Amino acid sequence: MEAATMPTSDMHRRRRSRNIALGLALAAWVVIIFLVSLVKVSGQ
Amino acid sequence: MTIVTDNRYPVATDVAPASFEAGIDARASDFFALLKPRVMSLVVFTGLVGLVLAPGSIHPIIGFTALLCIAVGAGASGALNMWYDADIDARMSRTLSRPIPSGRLTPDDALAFGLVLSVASVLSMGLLVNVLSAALLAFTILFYVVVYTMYLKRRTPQNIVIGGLSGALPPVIGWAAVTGTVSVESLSLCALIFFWTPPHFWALSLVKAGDYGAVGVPMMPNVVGPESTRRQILAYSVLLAPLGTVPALLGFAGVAYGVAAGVLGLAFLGLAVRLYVKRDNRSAMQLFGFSILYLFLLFALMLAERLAGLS
Repeated sequence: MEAATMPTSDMHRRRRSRNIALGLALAAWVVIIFLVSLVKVSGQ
Repeated sequence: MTIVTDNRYPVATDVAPASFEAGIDARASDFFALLKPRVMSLVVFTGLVGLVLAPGSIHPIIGFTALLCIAVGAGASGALNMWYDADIDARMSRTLSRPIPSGRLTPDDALAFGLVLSVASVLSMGLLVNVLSAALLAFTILFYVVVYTMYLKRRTPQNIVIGGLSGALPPVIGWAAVTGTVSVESLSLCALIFFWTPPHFWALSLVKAGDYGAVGVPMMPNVVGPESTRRQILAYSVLLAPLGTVPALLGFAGVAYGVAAGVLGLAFLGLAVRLYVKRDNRSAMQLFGFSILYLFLLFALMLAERLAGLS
């Protein structure tokens, strides 16, 4: 049997880049909420 | 092929026949373009100045978060504007290459993106900064999208006058992020941008009147003619020149700013007079170009003075 290797199309590359951007944005949002929480807790 | 049944988008599909992959095939940069980064940078800059000039202090992380929320909220407004205006964007050379008319994104992509970012920015501002700045941000987004984009833009030549309020509010939001209040000082910054907007846009629309007229957007030169538009530009410039010095008169900007604002205001007025007398496109573009420099310099001077401890 021939191994099924699907070439990465341009569409897949674009989708991946979009997912990476979305992941980074969400991660940044989580970091900001964490940091602001620290600031607010330490301020009380 | 998608069959677009909404009559508001026929032109977008005429220009760039969208496949069902239009949204799937989009790059992250296409979504970024929806945020209108250049407009966003001006909004963030004026918001930063409001935040820095406000009395009191704010933790740098919370200040950064406030600016981020302002940026995302402004970007969301841009995305929703592009969603609603996709039909006319496809018919103007200046906007033809935007993500929706070029077929790289579907209108639904832009709508979802804009709504999610609007809600996220307002909620984040409310939870992480304060409620007043969140309320002001929500008002700004709603005013830009619903009042300006959906109602005023296609109905009245006063569109950018009234709609300009949304572009004028970021310093008020930045100020409110620090103080939790709206004050005369922050409103004076708002007024400065508000009265700057008509001569800025009308100078450009004098040159681009054909583009706007072709898509049925009632910009001032198309409705009342270039002569009356030039007169109104002059009138707003007369109001704007002294208004620029108000931050110094109120005491939250320094003497250097006051002098510079006076000189720059006279230069603005001089270019408006020249446009009124010479009646040519070159004078209109010079005023348009100078208007950008004028607003940038005023806000940069206020910022520099405060950071240098001179005000």
